[in-house]
Amino acid sequence: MPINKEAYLRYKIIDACLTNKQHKYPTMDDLIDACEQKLGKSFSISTIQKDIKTMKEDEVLGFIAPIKFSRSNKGYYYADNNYSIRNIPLTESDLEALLAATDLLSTFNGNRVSADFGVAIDKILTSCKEVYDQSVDKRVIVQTEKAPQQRGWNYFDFFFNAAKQNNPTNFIHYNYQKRRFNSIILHPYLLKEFQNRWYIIGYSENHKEVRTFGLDRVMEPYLINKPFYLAPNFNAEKHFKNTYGVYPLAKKIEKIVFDASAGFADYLMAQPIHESQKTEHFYPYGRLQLSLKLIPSQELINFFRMNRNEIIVHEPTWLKTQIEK
Amino acid sequence: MSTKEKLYNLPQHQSSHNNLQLLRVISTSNYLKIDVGYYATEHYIRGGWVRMSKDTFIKVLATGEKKKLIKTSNIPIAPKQLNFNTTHDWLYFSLYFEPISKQVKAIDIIENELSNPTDFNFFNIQLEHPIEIKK
Repeated sequence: MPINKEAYLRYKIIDACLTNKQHKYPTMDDLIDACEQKLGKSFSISTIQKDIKTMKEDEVLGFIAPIKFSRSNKGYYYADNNYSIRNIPLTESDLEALLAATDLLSTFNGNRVSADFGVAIDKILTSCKEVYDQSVDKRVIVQTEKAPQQRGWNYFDFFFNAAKQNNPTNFIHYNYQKRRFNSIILHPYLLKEFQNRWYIIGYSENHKEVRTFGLDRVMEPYLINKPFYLAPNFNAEKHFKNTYGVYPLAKKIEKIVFDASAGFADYLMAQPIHESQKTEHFYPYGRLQLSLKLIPSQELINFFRMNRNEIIVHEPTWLKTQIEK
Repeated sequence: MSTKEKLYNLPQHQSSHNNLQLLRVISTSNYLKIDVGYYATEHYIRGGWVRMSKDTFIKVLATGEKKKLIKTSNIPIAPKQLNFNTTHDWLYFSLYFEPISKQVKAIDIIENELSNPTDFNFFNIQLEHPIEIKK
């Protein structure tokens, strides 16, 4: 079972208390206070007692910490003065898991992300073990689709760091449809991938609203010295929850009703277009009528157009007309 | 005063060229960088071609002082030219000039003083509301 993140933070705090040479033999109250101060919530005696027991005895966790209670000093201590959970070496299975995770990460679009992660992992592994297995002839087990030479991919790190550090940016943008350039001042919030293309989403001062820009259309970004603006209602998870794609055409959710051919219906049932997809009606011989509750987007229109031999859209009428164009 | 790099975003200006967009001006102690967008038209077969004259200069409006072109990025200097492949092509490029004083508020960019419609001339570029670029 994975380690509870908050519990792990408490283990680290308890460890810091037990290794603090300035304040030896921390009491239960000291340990509780330290946890409450660092984590900003209350903890009971039983919680910290369970933590100590886990640190001492849990073989999966692997600390086997030599924690003892000193009656004379009325506090806790490590029987081994040199012990700390920070010094715990990785077990063989830990190492294998880390290597497998690195392999898996490197198969996704995050080749760039995994490069930094790989360096960090290498440092950990070499400090833990003099020699570890780095088989040169590793068999590829997971492979994902990667768009070759995607323009703008080299700005991924730039926008990742800008968004993380809450730093406004300026960049040149070319709009393929309008055939116009713009120089955008963007407060970046989110990098999003859709169908192998990456997008940066943030508050655009030019448009005075949250907008999406494809990285393939971005040129020469700069970090600029301005106060960062976080749009009050922006929520990264909710922003695209009701959209298929990244370019919604409206703000309102609409019910979209369409028929799918028997063969295509199988694919849509196995991999729905969106979580709101519902079966409205079963026709004889396998055809289905399905519905979606979505904010219509350009990507959805493109999807329906591409599959117009397999799909007939009934509602809304304006969408039906768009697809038939 | 600081030697920080300043950016002037979408500065106001006049231009007679329909396919050219002045996007940014970046002022540093080493150069004045002008970022420009160009899109090919149907006026020319396959979109035509572009290049910059080596005599392109900046004129400081207040004093008449001229600043020379140092180099370009992504656009050749005449007699070389960049030929487009289609009328749908587009190009983002930059021109680097000798630096200007931080007191300068307005400039012209002149490729050709006779100012044909196809010349890359921009007039009365207002250098207002600078934004500091972070290193």
